[in-house]
Amino acid sequence: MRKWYTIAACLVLFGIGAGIFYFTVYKPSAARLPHDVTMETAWGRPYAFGDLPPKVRLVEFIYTNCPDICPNTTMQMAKLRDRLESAGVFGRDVEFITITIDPARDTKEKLQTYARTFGVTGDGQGWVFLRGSEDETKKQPTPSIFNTETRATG
Amino acid sequence: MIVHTALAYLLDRDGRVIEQVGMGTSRFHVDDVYETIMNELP
Repeated sequence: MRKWYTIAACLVLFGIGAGIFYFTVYKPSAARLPHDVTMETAWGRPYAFGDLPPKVRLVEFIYTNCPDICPNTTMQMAKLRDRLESAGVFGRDVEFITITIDPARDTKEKLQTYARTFGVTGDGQGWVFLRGSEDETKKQPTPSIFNTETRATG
Repeated sequence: MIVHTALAYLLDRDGRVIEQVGMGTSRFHVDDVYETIMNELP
């Protein structure tokens, strides 16, 4: 009888381990940038995900009316940007992408204001701020366990 | 409607998600992300 308890315990532990692996390693790594989406930068340039040169990218989802969490995270990204610039890799090998999940409210002008807060004053500086339609926003690589839903508007 | 803001992912040079590096109130660890990025570069 004790043998069966041991086997059952091992099976349960294996199941838990497999679940942790699936949700923390396998599923996130299966997500990738959508190649069929083109968004617009805060300064009005089209940004086609299918035409991007190979770079390491940090993708962030925000909305400009977000009171605290978004700007705090973006501020951390700005600190990271400064370190990467010092290392000489920012822009050349590493790019940051900030995408609004509230494209209905976040106009280009609002995104520009948000970007300037973190020292980004235009396109071509290694950090793009993007907006698109709700459908385009939903196509971004967000593993289903952390599924991003477009913010309700209106 | 659920809103997940300040969600951040690190992607490799081929556009695949390497890891989630921030979400909501969870801290964005600059040192850790910096190291991961530098290790990903050729």
